[in-house]
Amino acid sequence: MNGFDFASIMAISPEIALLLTAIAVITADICIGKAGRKCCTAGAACKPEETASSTEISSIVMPFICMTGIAISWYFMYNLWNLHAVNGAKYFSNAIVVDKFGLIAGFVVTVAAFLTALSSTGYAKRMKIDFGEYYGLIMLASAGMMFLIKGNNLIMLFLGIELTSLSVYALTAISKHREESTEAAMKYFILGAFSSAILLFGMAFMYGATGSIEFGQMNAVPTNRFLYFIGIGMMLLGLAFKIGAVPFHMWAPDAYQAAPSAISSFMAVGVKTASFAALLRLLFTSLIHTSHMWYQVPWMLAVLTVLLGNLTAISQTNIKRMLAYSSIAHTGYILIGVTACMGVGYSTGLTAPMSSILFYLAVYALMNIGAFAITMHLGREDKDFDEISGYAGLAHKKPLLALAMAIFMFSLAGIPPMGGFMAKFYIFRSAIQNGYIWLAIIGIIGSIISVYYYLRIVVLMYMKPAQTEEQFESDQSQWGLHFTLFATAAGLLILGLLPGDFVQYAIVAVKELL
Amino acid sequence: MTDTIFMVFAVMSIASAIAVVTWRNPVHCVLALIASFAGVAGLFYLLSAPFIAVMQIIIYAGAIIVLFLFVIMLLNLKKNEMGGDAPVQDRLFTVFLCVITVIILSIPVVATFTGTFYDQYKKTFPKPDANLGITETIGQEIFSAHALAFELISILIIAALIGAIYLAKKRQRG
Amino acid sequence: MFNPTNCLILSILLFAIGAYGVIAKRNILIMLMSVEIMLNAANLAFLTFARLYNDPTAHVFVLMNMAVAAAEVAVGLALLICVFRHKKSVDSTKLNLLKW
Repeated sequence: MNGFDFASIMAISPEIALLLTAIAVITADICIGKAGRKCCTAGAACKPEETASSTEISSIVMPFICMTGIAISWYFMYNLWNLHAVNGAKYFSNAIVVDKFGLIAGFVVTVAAFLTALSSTGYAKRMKIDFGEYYGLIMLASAGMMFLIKGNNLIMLFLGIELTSLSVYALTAISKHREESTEAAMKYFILGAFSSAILLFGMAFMYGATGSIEFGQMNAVPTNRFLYFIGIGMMLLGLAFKIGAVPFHMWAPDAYQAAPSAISSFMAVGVKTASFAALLRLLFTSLIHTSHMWYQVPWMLAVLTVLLGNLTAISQTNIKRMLAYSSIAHTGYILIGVTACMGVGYSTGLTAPMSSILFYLAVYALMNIGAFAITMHLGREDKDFDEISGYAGLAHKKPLLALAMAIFMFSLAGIPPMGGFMAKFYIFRSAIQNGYIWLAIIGIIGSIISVYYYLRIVVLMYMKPAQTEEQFESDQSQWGLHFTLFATAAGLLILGLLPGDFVQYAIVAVKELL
Repeated sequence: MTDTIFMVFAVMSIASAIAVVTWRNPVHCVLALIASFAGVAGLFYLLSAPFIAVMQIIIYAGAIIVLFLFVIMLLNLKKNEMGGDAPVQDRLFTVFLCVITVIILSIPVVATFTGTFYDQYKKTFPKPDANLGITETIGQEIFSAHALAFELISILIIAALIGAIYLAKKRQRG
Repeated sequence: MFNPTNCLILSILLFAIGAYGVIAKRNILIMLMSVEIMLNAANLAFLTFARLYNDPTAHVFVLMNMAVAAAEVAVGLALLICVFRHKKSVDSTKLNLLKW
C-alpha cells in the first residue's frame, strides 16, 4: 500500500493523535498566554494575580490536553491490536510496519509520556517551566519514539532517532535559567550529534553493502562482507550511544542529573525503550543471519555495561546520578537479553529472550518513573530532592512515601516479589537456556552489587533519624504525583506477582516479529 | 578530464576541512567550511547528482553557514572566550586514532573494489542512468515511496523550531 | 582517479577529519562545524553508492539528511547561546559544573 489511503492513515493514527495533541498544546499556550497579557495591557497596571491565575489554569489544562491525546492514541492502538488484518502489514511503501511488537513498545512509551504529564501538573509550575514548550516537546518526542519503533527502513530509523533526540536535547535544557541544565544539554547534544553522524555513516555503508535501505531487503547475504561489517559496526556504535551502553554512556549521568526529574525519567524510559525496540527490529529483520560472526560485540558491551554501571553507582551521593548509573546497568541487563537471542539457531530459541526484553522494558519503565517521581515529590522551589543523605528518616515522617520508595528500590535491585525480580529472572533464564551461562552469572553478580546501593537508601529511610524537622515539607499540589506513585507501585507489584498475562502478550507480539 | 576535476574538488574539500579543524578563529573556520561544502557539492555533481549539488550549496552554504555566522556575530567572542585546542599530546593521540580509523575503514573498501567481491566492471563507475539525479526522478521518489519520511521531516523541523526558539529567546515568564 | 574506491576513501578521510575536530577542539562552535563535516562525509558515501547502483533512493536519503543537519545545527546553536549566557564562553573545558 503506497499512498495516503484510509488504511495507511489508520496505521499511523496513534502518532497522528500525539502530533495533533502537540499542536493543540502549543496553540493553547499561545491563547492562554494572550488572554493573560490582554489583562495586563487593558488595565493600566498589570495585576499579578491575573497572570498568576492564567498560569494556574494552564498548569492544569495543558497536562490534561496531553493525557487526553495519549488516551486517544491508546484507543487507536487498541484498534490496531484487534485488527488482525494489519498485523505485520507494511504501509507507505514499506516505510512503516504495524505489528504487535511495535504496539507493545509504543504502549510502554506512551505510558511513560502519560505518567510524565500526570506527574508534571504541579511540578512544572514549581520548577518555573514554560508549559507550552514543555508539553509540546514531550508530545513531539513521544511521536518520534513511536515512528522509531514502527520504522521499517533506514530513513525512518534515522528520522525517528533525530526527532526524538532533538526534542529531548531541548527538554534537558528546559529550565534554562539553571546553569547545570544548559551545560548537561550541551554535552548531551555534542555527543548525540557525534553519534548520529557515526550512525549515518554506518547506514551509508550498510546501504552500499546490501543495495537497499529496507529492513526486510537487507537480509540477503551480502556479496561484499567488508562493507557490510563496517556498516554493522558503525550502526551498532551509534545505537549504543542512544541506549547508553558503556563505553558510550558519558552523556547519561550528566543529563539525568541536571534535567528536571520528570524529564530524566521520560528520557531514561522513553528513549531507551524506543531505541531498544528499533535495535531489536533491525537485528531480527536484517542482521540476524550474520549474527554468529559478531555476537561477541554485544556480549562484551553487555558485560562492560553491567559491571561498570553498577560499580560506578556505588560511589554516588546524588540520587539522580545514581539512578542514571543504575539505568546504565539496566541497559546492560537488557543487552544480556539481546545477546541471548544471537548466535543460536534462530527459529527455536528466540521467543523467550525477546519477550523477556519486552517485559523488562515495561517493568523498568514503571520503577524508574516511580523513583524519579519521589525526588519530584519531596523537592522544593526549583530544586529536586536529590541528595541521598537527605533521605534519612523519611519513613518516620512520611511512611507511605517511604514505602513507595522502598518498593521501587527493591524492584530495581531485583528482590522478589517485585516486578524487577521477575524481569531479571526471565532475562537470565533465557540467557542460560540459550547457552550463555557466563553472561547470566555476570548479570547476577551485577545485581548483587546493585543490592548494596539500592538498599542503602532503604536503610537510610527506615533506620536513621531525620536531620531536620521540616525537611520533608513540600510546597506544591501533589495529587498528580500521588496518582503516579500509586500507579507505578501497584503496577510493579502486579507485574511481580502475576507476570503471566503480560508475558503472554509479549510472547504473542514477539512471535509475530520473527 | 573528469579525473582532473575530481582531484581538484577532492583536494579542495579535504584541505579546507583540515583548515576548519586546525584554525582558531571561528570566522576563518566558517569560510573554510564554505569551501569544503563547495568542494563536496562539486563531487556530488560529478556523481550525477546535480540537484543534490545545488541543494548542498543552497542549504549548507545558504542556511547553515549563515546561521553559524549570525551566532558568531551575536556572541561577539573575545580571544579568551573561545577555547583553543586540546593539549599537544592529546591532539597527537587523536590524530593517531583518526589515522587508525581511516586505515581500518579503507582496507575493506580497497579490498572490496579490487578483490573478488565485486565484478570487474565495478572497479569504475557504471554508465549512469540518464534519469539518475535529475529533479523529476527525485521528486517522484520523494512523493511516492518516501512520502511519510517527507512528512516526518516537517514534524522534525517543527520540533527543532520550537526547541531552538525556546532556548535562544530571553526568559519572559517569571 | 574518479572511481568508487577513491570516492569512498575521500568520504572516510572527511569523516576522520570531522571526528578529529569534535574530539580535539575546545571551541564548541568549531565542534559543531566538525559534526557538519562528518554528516557531509556520510552524504558523499551515500551518493557514491547511489551512483554505483543507479538508485535514486539514496538521493532522497541525502536530501533528508540535509534537512536534519540544518535542524540539528539550529538546536545546537540555540543551546550554545543558552550556555554562553551563563558561562560567557564557548570553551568546552568550561563545561565543568558536572563531573564528566
